[in-house]
Amino acid sequence: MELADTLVGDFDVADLLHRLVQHVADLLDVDAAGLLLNDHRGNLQLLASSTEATRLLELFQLQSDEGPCLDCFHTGRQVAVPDLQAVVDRWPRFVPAARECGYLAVHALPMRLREDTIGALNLFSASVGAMPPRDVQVAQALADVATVGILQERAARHREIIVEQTQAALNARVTIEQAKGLLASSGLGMEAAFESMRQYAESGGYRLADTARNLVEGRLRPSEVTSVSRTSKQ
Amino acid sequence: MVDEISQFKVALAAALAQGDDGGAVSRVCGALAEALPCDGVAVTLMMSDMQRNTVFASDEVIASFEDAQYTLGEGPSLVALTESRPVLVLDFANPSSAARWPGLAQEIATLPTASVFCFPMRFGVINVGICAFYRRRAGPLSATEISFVLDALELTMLVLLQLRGGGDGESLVGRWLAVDGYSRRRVHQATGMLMGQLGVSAESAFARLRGRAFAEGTGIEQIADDIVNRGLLLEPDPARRGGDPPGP
Repeated sequence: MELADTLVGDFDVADLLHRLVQHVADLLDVDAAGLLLNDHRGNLQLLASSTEATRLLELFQLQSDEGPCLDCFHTGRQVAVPDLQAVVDRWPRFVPAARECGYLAVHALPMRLREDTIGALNLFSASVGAMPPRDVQVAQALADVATVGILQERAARHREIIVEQTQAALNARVTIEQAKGLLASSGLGMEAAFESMRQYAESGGYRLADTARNLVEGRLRPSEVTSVSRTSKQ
Repeated sequence: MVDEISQFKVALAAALAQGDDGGAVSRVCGALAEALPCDGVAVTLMMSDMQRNTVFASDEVIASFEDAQYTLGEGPSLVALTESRPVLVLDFANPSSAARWPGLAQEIATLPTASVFCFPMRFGVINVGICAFYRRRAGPLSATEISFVLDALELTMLVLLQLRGGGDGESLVGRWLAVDGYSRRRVHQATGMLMGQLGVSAESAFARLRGRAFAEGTGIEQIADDIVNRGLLLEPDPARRGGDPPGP
């Protein structure tokens, strides 16, 4: 499938992670997907999410302090919460924030290879109930493919590769935020800015991170990006 | 590790407070060299014309190492620069290192650079440069060392940006970036919004953000929040009205 193809040849971690969350959101019965990686400075950082609504981004990022992703990252194991209301004592900040966004159930799956957990894939559902085991398997398999892709299955220099790849992805994410701001300065909201950039990249077969960089470095005009996304919506 | 970073902030503040502005870059890099867990440090800055300039080397060893890389056009600093990621070489005697950079391996065979670590200093497209440091022994940086290096380099990068923009380095002291992902995201978004509003490069936009924070006696995150969420508009800089073109 497409996700596996990206592992061969020109490889870009930030783009791979965006594809991963997009696939998970498209293939499975979940309402939002996000991916957090360890930044090696003591925080989990959101690298990719299926939508970029501000409140949802806050909800993902809140889990650097508490929540299923943090627990999943620390234990290297899946965390399944079929009913958020039942665990309000466990995560007194995360649960109300999730419910405010309209989510009633959550899963966190580790991005893990052997002893190393590099982050977690986070899935939200607007209805109460456990995810079907088959869906969990599919999501975990996608997360595993992405993890192996990032780590390139090399036994030697394992830890170093994690640091090198994660920092590259974090920096690409910063460029994406700068590009979102640039697009948003013409009056778009941040969410719409991201969506237009994603659609432009997708329709042209470009990588999201490249599109963002071209925008911020002045090689691509914001109007080119917003006009493509407007056309494709019609 | 928190303590080590606090100590480094104090050392940076001291480096900025003493002496003339002309020597500030060297003093800041010197403070960095003191703090990093290694035997020697070089700092190479990217100039506005995209030329590299090694502005600091703490000893002859790392100076020769950087010189060899840039002369031969191969090596970990160049990879770190072009791929925007750290490059961590645990053992230069390992055949895989020699296979990766054959010319360099030969050139530095007599140097005591057993391990070399190169970290880019950048925020998205804002490219300050590269920090390369070596150890006389082979082997990895520990997790705590990596965490400290990343934190220390971000602080150094902020200071170098401030000095490069002609700003007063001391105005940054106590005004570092918060660590949480959410407010950082907003700072980068605000940088992009200012680029669009003012028609300036990412680096100039970020400088305006810092300048405004200092002028208002508040944090960079607070100004970013005002720009992104409350529609704050900044006036074009009177000194360079018309702005500069976005990007190089």
